[in-house]
Amino acid sequence: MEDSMIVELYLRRDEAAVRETAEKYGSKLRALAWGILGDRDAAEECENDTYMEAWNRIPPHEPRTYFYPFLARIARNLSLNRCRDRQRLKRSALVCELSAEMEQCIPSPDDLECRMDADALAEAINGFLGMLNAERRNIFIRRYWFLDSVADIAKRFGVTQSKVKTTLFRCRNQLREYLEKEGYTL
Amino acid sequence: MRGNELLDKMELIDPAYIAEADRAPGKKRIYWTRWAAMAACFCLISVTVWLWNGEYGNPDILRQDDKTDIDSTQTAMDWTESGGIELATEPYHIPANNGPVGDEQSILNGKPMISGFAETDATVDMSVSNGGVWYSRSLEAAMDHYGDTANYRVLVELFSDGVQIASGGAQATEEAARLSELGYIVAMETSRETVTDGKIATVSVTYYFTIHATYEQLLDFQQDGTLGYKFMLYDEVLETGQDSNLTSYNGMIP
Repeated sequence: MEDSMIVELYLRRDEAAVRETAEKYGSKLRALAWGILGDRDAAEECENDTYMEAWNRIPPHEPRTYFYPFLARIARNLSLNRCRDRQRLKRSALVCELSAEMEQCIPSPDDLECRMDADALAEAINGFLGMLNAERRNIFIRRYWFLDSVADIAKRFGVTQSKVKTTLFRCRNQLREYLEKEGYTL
Repeated sequence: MRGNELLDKMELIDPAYIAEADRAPGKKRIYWTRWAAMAACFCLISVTVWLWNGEYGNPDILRQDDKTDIDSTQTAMDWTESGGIELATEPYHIPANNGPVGDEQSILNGKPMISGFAETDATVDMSVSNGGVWYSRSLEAAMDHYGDTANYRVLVELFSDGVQIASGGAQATEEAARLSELGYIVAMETSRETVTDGKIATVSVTYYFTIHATYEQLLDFQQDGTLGYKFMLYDEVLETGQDSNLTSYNGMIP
């Protein structure tokens, strides 16, 4: 079923919307959650929570042309939050690793209060991504949005892990320079 | 903002980019690599057969050229001078388009060691949060330029909860031992300065925590989550090869 038709079901409050969503995107959402949580049961719970969130958010949202990214974003947030809650005492290795990498993108990692609102930050990040070629952008997003491992990214794009690491390293540096040059402070 | 929060904020990425990254197919390299491997094997077999025939089949073919007619009394150097392969006698140096060539006295894996690069602005006076790793512009530029063709001599400043910790202290020593166990070459260098005030002489000791790392080790730095790290090229703070007052070297070589 087309995404626009599935969204229409949500808008009509037809419960078939959830069934159609699960059929079309269930496995991808589960895989995304599992990649973050590493636990099948928790991933399934996140998947179900995603459907509930989508039900609550449509309307007012009408993600007809970007339905999967809309769902994936919900799943990602739920998974990250659950990951942090579950590992309160023992920090998740994945989240720690990615957070440390992201730290390198921040022009002045200190205790200053965040000065960017969401719109400005979105503009900054998307402006930066727009400057990259497709391969670099996709590698960056697979790592920091989909939270894929370096090995999975290398396999997906048919490149070496060393190339992925180098690409990510350069992207992080470029993002930091972009944010500084454009006068964004975080 | 911390790295953790920025990771969350990646959710603001345009859905169109998300969809593109989700669609991006994997490159099908398996077929051409398989053919390339077969072609390489075929070439190897062909060359081996040709040489075999040359050695035991028709000796005259190989010995027509005097340069390959090696007399057992000749030394390798004589053979070289008679027109054989020229052997490298100097370590390979990467020409430095920006900044000095690496320190030849500290070489890992046969690669030159980079201690300095282009002139940069003064090191930013900033702290690094726990779990964070910060690379100076000079170091980033050097890594970008040389990649994995060189190794790097890096001065490390450590932070705990945003406060710099003494390089000569127990916490730094413990961290040095941990990195050493992980395969990093670690050094704790000291500088001693004696100040005389009348009849009283005071010796102050400054410690410098340095690592000699490969490109991969810097990219994949295995930080301790309770410490923050600031990495700078050695020459940004100290000067390689100067008549310095670095009087002791307590390297912890694994």
